[in-house]
Amino acid sequence: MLKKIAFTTLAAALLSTMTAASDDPPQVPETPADVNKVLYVEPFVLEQGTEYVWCKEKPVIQAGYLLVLEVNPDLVYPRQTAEPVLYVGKQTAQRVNLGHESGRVIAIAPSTLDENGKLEVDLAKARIWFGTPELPELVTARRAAYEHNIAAKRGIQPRGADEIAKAAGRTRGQATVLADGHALMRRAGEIVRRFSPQDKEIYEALLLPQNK
Amino acid sequence: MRTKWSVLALAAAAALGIVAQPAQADPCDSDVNGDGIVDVLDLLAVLADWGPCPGCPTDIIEDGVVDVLDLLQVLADWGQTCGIFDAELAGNPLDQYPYFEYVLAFNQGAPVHVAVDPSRYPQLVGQTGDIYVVEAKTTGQWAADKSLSDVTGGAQTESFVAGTIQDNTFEISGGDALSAEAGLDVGHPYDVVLDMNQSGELDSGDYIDGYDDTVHGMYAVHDLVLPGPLGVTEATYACPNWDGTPGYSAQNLFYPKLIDEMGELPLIIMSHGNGHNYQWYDHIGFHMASYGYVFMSHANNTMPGVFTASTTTLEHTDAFIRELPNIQGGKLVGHVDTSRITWVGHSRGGEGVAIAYDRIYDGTWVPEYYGIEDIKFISSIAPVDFLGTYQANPHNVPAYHLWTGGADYDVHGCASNDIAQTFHLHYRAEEYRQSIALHGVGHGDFHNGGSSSVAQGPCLVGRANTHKIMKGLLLPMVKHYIEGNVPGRDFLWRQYEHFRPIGVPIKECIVAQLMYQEGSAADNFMIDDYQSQTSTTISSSGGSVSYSVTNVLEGRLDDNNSTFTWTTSDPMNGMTCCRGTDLEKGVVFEWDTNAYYEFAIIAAEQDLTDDTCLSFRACQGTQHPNTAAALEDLTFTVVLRDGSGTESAINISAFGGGIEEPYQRVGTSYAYCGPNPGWYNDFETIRIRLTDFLNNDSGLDLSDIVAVRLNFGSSWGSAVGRLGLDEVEITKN
Repeated sequence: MLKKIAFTTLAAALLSTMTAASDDPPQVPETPADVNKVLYVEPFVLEQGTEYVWCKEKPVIQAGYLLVLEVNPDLVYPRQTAEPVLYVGKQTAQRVNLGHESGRVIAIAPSTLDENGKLEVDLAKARIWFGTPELPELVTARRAAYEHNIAAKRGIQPRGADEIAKAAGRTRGQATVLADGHALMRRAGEIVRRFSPQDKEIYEALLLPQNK
Repeated sequence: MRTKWSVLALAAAAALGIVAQPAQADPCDSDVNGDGIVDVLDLLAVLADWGPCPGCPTDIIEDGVVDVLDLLQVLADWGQTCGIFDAELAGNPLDQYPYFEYVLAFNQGAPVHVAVDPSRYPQLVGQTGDIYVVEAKTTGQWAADKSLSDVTGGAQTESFVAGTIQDNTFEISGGDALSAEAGLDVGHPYDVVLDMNQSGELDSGDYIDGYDDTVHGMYAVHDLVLPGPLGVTEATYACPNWDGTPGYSAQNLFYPKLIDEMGELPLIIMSHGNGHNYQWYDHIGFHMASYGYVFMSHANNTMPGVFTASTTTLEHTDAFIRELPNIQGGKLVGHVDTSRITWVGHSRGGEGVAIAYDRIYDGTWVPEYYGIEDIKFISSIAPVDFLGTYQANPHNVPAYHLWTGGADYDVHGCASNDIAQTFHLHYRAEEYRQSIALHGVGHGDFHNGGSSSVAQGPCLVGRANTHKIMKGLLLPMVKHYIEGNVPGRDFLWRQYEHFRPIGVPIKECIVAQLMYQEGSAADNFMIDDYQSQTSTTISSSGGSVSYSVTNVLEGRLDDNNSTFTWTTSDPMNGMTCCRGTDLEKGVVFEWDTNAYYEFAIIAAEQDLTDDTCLSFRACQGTQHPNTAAALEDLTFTVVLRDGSGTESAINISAFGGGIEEPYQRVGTSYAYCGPNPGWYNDFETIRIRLTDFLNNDSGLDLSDIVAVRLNFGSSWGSAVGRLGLDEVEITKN
């Protein structure tokens, strides 16, 4: 009994030490770094476009994908200095939550629409990865293309139809129609709440009611 | 008006050797030059005007002619002190020369002393007077009511003697019990009076510390870490009709509960950092609101980058002001002073607020509901510097402030990463600027979001203690810059080891380095800021510089490699004041024997009688052998020399401490900065009152100061050292 108590105490102490150490910022992992898995895909279309500030050009976007990605948490540990940039295809993707506690990132990947109103970005053929640490707002289209080339050379593969189909689940390519950028972020907040509840402060802020 | 007959009688008495009786008329009529005393200068003035001179002040008996009668009157009134003398009286005794420091702010419960230097006030020698500490009055109030009512339990009678200032230093009985009640303000004001004729009134011949409408003699300051007197309301909501970046409309608001009974209150906008949350600054929000501020912390879009963060700051400031009728049922309408806005930013938000100001300054952003002139104060907490000189720039904001944590494991400050060096933004500010650098404080210690302190290094301070320091120093700083509070300024530059808010932790290794630099409105004289005159023998003001210290080098204050390891090829080792596009310069040098570094003062600036302080900032050189030889405060002696060759010297340790040794941190992982302990060089400001150099009959003539010299070595302070030096100036305040 005493041995068990001693062992338990020792284990708790060690665990405490490990927990304390894990609070410290980890080294930034090497990039390019693949995401582990695509867990969820929800296409969306906006009735009113919104400015996309996650790249240098700041285009107005009208459509895209809400994604849930399983990732190495060290890639998304929040830092003030440069963080690895998330790419979907040859463009940056917006990270909605932090994800370092859950290992899950909710992202927005913009897409243009074809003449039939269908999203032109084919996720099955897209590479989804983390590139060189940088501020996304400074990444130009040219830089994104460069990062894509590097990723391809370093063995980052497109996700494949099976994974995307499974992640698309019941939506089956049917896009959610949202009013505008505000509605998009609220929808993203709901997805954060479902898939990364550890980011409570983020989804609560996104889902705040109007001022009282 | 004296009659000829009374004066003739005096003359006859004088001729017969009889001691003259004072005339019935005001003896201060004989103080013809108005210097406050009847002496040889008045006698010489009478002689100079000898003869017919109707209306002349030297015609003391007003008979139209300056003659022997006037001269005899001067003799009869000889030594009479006249007028009320404005003098510094309140302060603290020191263990070494100048043996006393005159200060404005006293922590509640601290002893209060009064001192008079008999060499500067010889007329007081042999005199006895009553010392009063009274509730402060304006000059108009003094004119209306000269009565003295002591608040310490009764006036204190003291006699002034020949000798030293130490011999004439008196602790005020009951001074440690002075009320510090100041409502929403910092510091309860008092005036200090020497009632030399013991009349119980402020009248001719008395001395007063605080004969001014805005700056009083002394202030008793309560524990600034404690909340203020106001109850606080907190609210969290999404700001409606938000047309900024979607999804980042959340605001967390703190304001006085009874705001509808108050006037217009200054506004503070808080912009958090990356991975942080807008609700993590309640420690600041509650504190400032309890002292009469409106504090709004907004969700900040930092993940795309610092420029996006700056947009969020700009838009939230506009949105908040615009939406006042809709926020909290319109309760704040008419109670927010949008002409007194403070922006506070943390990390990426800390750079974001500087970028936001720059965008308005450059004209690339035009706010709707406020203007650049309404941004009065910017404070950056451990900011990054992604966008550099031309964008992350506070320009001419009236006041800029920087917090830095020496143990920061995120914005770590290592030489290897310009982006992670916080001091750049401070040096770009052009007007009033200050910096508070805290050893042992991590990046996460500044907010209240729980989780890691993000700290690396020895003697970690922790979040709770960091918040006490933040509250204790932010309050007087904001009060000073936003409301003109006078005693608050003392907390910005006095040596932290010697004077700090009551409730801050006093753990031995907690170190706070304060830098304080006044703006252009102060009209100070810069002896040398090293920004021009590349020669090491000419100052930026054009005077010669001479020295016997060694390895003198002027240059950009920027470490030229990626570690803090000392090497002779990196003379600016440890300097992180600027990046490649910045031009902040200073000088470095060292000594291992007695040595000096001297500035000649140009002729046009040698009269320092209207000035107040000598100020400079200095730092130790990290990991230099002379620094590592003795890891302790570095001290040296400052000498003023006048045109006759008279010198007066003060060791900087007289005021508490010296130049701190660099934080003995060894960086690891991505914050690796070399294998040895010793982090970046933190500058701190030293300010010495010029009149301190006069104490104890130094003989120095402040009207003719020809040189400022710094003496180093075992005869003058630390035996060895490596010093960085910058911004040596004479200040008006």
